[in-house]
Amino acid sequence: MGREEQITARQFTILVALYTMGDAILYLPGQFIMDAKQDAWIASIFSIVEIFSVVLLLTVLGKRYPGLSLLDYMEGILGKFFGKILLSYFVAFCFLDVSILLMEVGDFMGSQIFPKTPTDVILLLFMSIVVLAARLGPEATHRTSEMMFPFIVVLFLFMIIALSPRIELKNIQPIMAHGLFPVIKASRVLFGFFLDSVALLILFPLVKQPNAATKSFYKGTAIGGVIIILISTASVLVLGVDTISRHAFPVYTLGKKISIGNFVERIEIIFTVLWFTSLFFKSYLFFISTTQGVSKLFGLKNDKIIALPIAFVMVLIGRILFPSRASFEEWSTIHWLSHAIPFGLGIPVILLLVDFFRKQWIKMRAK
Amino acid sequence: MLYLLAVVGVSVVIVLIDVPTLIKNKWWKEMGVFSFFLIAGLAIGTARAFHLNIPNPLEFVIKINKPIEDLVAFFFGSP
Repeated sequence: MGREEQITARQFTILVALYTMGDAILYLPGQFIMDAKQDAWIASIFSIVEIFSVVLLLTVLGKRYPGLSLLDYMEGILGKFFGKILLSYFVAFCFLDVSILLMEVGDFMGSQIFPKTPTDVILLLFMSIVVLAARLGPEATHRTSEMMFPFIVVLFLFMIIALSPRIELKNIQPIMAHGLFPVIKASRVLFGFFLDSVALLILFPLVKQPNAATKSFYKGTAIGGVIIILISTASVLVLGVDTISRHAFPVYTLGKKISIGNFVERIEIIFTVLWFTSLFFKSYLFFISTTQGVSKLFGLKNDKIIALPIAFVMVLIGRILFPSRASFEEWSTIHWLSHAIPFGLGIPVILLLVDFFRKQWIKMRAK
Repeated sequence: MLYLLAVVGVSVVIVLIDVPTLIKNKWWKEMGVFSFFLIAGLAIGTARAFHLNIPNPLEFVIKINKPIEDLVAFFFGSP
């Protein structure tokens, strides 16, 4: 294995930004307007504040054990038995998460872009790239992300600027017609999407200076958050609440609206590029969480060698999770938040509390 | 039938890629985990090929998370 793998703070920023965009960039506008209606843009601003509180919690935990990954200190804090239980839960969650992300790929590609290709084949191809990234290791993957990110930002800004002539201000009026509560209620959506960010603590220690890593965690969240605010504001301003609620993928519909001088038309596929890239890095994150977790659980020497069969099972599970589009809507709007809260808030809070009381106890004993 | 062939084909490719390395390095523990996931994949794939009913893990997850869901609904009202 030679020298230790490490990534720069800049690469970590980009990964966090891509993770925050993740699958949210395609589904979020549609879910914001369910409760907030035309105030979705205010809801998105609120939700940025909420996800910053999650980042605060995670960085406090990450800085307590500099240089160690979440999987390493999980057993250290809780002891062997409870550590293994928490680790199994972590692995199961990440495993399911990759399957859900894969299902989203299949759902989108199968219904919008390649309707006649079998979805299993699309998933298999997508997953083989993720496996490739996992086997090449974090350094190669993060350098790729560094290479892709400028393109993503430029493409995104181009889309927003190209959409700006179609903005209609009457789409967001009246502002706060139903008071503050529906807006706050709607802001829980991005909070839910962001809750699985505990897995980022696996890559957090790969940045050598903990303070730089903390800073880039905040910076990445801010970049991703601004992109999400822009995209949800743009979709409400351009499409209006009624049109968004009628489409499964409002952002893709938004792309179809772009028309420059009746010459540049139908460039919505650019959104697919954006979404695919961010989704790829999100799947990569949870995939390596799963493989590293499994190898920690059974005390394996090499976590890359078991990547292929795990990916194989993920693809097959991803095809059976949701029998229909409606069941996916129900899952992501109703059940996801309660599924993510014990993972995203439970794990760091338990680890921090146990760690705090253990240190107090050791201090008392020393006296 | 085509689906079953594809599933078997993919698993054969996976075995060809990784098993020689596993045997060469004598990583028997890794071999155990590797075969567990491969057999699980083959089982699920075969069940899907014959249109058998596979239990959905999400139904189980939803059942476990019911108390938290009720708590969230208490704060926000049912969606």
